[in-house]
Amino acid sequence: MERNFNDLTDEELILEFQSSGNEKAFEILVSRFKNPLINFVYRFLGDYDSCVDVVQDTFIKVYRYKDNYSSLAKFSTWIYTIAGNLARTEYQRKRRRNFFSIHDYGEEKKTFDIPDEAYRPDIQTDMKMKSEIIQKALLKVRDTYREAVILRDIQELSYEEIAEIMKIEIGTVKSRINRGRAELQKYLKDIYKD
Amino acid sequence: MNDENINRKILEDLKNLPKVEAPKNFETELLRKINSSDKTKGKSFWENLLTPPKLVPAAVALASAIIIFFVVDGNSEVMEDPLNIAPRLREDILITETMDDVILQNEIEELNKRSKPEQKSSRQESVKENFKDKPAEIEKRDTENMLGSNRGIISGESYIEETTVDTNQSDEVQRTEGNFAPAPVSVSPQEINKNSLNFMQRSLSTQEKQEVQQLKMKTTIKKDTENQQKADKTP
Repeated sequence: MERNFNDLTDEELILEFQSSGNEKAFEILVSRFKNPLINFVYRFLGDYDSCVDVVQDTFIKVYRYKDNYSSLAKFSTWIYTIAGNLARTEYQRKRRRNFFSIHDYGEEKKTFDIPDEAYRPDIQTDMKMKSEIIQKALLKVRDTYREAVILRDIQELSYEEIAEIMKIEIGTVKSRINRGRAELQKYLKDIYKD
Repeated sequence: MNDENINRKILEDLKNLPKVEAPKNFETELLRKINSSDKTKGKSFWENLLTPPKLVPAAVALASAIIIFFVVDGNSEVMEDPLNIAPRLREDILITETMDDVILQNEIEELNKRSKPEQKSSRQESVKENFKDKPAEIEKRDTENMLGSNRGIISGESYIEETTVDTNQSDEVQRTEGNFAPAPVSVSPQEINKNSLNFMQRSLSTQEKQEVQQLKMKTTIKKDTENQQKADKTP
């Protein structure tokens, strides 16, 4: 009798994948987490191609190191931790590359349009412009504060989950979020003046 | 608009940011990557490490640096273990006489005493005359001879010269006066080697010498008796 994996929770799915190696469970986990992770990593990196690569690497790590998952933790925090670590590494690598690149030297950070065609017709013009400006401002925020702000204000995770993902205290999470917001406000002040 | 309103508006806009979605071929691309990573997973650590574009230049540079370090190193000295070095042969130290010589001389003196007691007095007189002629020289030699007989070892090249020059005179004194210590035997530095050096040599009194002699005699007598007994037993 075939089990309906769609009814299982994330934790039950990863435990099923751990015990039996059933790839169906893994596929359901991919379908559940691919968009939230893409959104999180895209807001952090600001580069769609890189963000897709990072999220795919995240799932590859989950596939290969499935046995490292402990049932005590939530699956979402575990996968967000992996994605956050990889995104941070990619961000630092890109920053080093831009620092030594002759082409990018002295130029401002480029923005990248979201190539997903499904979105574009639905987005209003002013909202599109505003989102681009916010994305630019987000990329200017220090990366430690940015990650906390994205997880809290865009991904809408709890302070406890963020603390677990970033492996810091809840108080530190709150202070980072506040500082990140303050920086963001500094960059976006002119837009909201009127 | 005050700061609080700006902050609230920013938070609203952050929440309402358009959600970015994964591309349509995300899963297929992911499966392809997983399969390709499974193939590369079979490679050993060294195979991965020595894949041409990776660490080969660094490994070559490191190897060449090590080779240069050992080839160019000019300060390398073969350190000799001081405990395994043979002691330096001191050519300025001479052995004048051994214990056997001293014992032999004593034996000769005793024989002389027994055989010629009368001649002794006349010779003593002649010796006294010699003392009168060269009191300072004899006194000096006397003390040196005494030291030589007691210590067995006399150091200094100057002594060699003196002893070799005055050998005739000292022989004469030895022959005439039994109380004098035997004349020191001059040994050239070339004759001394490491094995012949008796480091345990010590000064013995005449009584001790006699005791040693007695012990030697006893052992020889014992050996002789044993040999005789063995000879008797054998048919």
